[in-house]
Amino acid sequence: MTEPEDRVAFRFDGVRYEGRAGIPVGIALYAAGVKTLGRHEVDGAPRGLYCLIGQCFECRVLVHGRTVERACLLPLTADLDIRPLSVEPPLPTHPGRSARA
Amino acid sequence: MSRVSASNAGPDDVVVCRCERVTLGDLERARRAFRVSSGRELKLSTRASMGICQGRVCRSALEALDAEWFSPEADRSGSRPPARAVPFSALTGWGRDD
Amino acid sequence: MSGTLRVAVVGAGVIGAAAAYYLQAAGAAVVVFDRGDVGGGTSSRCDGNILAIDKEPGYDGVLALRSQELLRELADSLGPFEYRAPGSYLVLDTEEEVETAERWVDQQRAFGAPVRFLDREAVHRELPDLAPDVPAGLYCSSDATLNPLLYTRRLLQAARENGADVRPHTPVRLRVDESRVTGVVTDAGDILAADATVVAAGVWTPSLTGPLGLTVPIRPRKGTLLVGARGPLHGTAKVMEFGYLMSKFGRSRKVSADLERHGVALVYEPTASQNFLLGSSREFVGEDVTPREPVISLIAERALRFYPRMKESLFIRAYAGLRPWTPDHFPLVGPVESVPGLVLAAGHEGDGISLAAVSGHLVADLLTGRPPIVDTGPLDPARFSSP
Repeated sequence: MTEPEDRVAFRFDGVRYEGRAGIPVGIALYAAGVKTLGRHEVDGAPRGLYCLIGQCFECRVLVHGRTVERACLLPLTADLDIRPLSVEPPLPTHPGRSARA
Repeated sequence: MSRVSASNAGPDDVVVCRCERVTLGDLERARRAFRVSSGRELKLSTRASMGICQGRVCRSALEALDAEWFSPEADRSGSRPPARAVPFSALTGWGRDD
Repeated sequence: MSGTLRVAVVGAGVIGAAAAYYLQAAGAAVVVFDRGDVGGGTSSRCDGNILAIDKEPGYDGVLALRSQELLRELADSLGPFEYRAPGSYLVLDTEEEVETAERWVDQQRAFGAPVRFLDREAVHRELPDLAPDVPAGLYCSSDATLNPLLYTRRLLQAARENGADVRPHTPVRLRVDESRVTGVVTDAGDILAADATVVAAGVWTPSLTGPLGLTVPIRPRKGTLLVGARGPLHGTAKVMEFGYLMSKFGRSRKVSADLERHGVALVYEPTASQNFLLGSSREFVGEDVTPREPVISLIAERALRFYPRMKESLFIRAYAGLRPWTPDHFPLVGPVESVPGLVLAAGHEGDGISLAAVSGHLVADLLTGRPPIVDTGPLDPARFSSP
């Protein structure tokens, strides 16, 4: 006899999703069809779950607008507010003389 | 890195450091452009292994390149604290008698 | 002078690189040696701050401002080195510092440094992430930041393009002939003869000059830096605390004994790679470059005093370097009168990156006989010799 799932609501990038309480939020998003958790700061490429064991930080997200967490580890709780990290524009630096080969 | 050539991927398709988006092509170009002669210099020239995972994903690939490209006496790139990224709030009050 | 001036430069850090660049540009034939990597010493273990804001009004400030001018020219003529010049800020810790800060600004402006005072409202408007109780600040518009290792490399790259020879991983010792320095000898016994040998080896300079019996009072003064990961930046400006200048006026900061003992003072520096560096500390602990506690935590604690929101930012790495300290806080730049053929360019403490351009230019001036662009009296190595 299985217990009914404890499904809770949460938000990712302002959109409401539901998932099973206690599983990693990145897995809950994957199950909901969301694979892109953010854009890479260096080249804007999409990124998401990779190692799934908290080592690579590819799944990093912003939680409640304040802390940076790994979505593959963070347990889903009700009313969690997750957002992609914003990609800051690079600081403008002097281009210098164009490099010869 | 001879295993790379067995596939259709070229050096610019092989992402070695995911955190800093450094490809094998980038590493080869930096090595030539800066006349790099050690693993430490390669790291400092490309930022490979200096990103948020601090080399967890790419370190073994970089060590393989180090062994292939540089002499055993050259400076290896070492590891530095912290063991993994922590918020700055975790640091305050450490190791002092309060 | 007949024939080309042959110069050996020992040390391929930022000072040696700048000397090589300006010497080669002045028509000398330069060979640069380093026992390790290019920039493998202090030049790759530091921050990239180019400051005039923390200099004593007077010679100290003139040297720094002249170097900043040269650096602006180098930014145009060298390959890119992440140079940007947004100016820098000093922020005050307590009300007691305000009067001292106002006087400091007046003195700086009298020497022509582009510094202005920021009252409470102004400093919080320009630095919105700052802790609300910071009472005031200062701003210097000519201050800049760059990537120190890349800058070192670009200087050497340009020197090479002009004909210089750069030989890393080649340890040398000075070649001495009847109390003249006539070049260098490698570990393999190869000799490079030179009309002048410039020792620009930072904290390792005394080990090279030791055999000559010279007094070169350079000591390693360790500095630790923390790296904060990319994420929400705490502003793109470079910020330091005014407090550590207080000791120059014979007053101390109101900080804990721990912070004073390790010489910890806030330095916040966003980098081109969008990380940020946090410093700073000052310790005499020999040649240890391992980042250690409690200094790591003290730097973090001091940063959080001024940037409380930084507590959620991620700390990803620490590293440390050795500043080449001298007793009067000025480097030794110039020929050594008592040892013909020997030139020193070392002892820049925490200002190596800032002063490399003017130091390199001065070495070239002094060796080619042109009028030095700044008075070199205060930098004369002879000032430390016993009479």
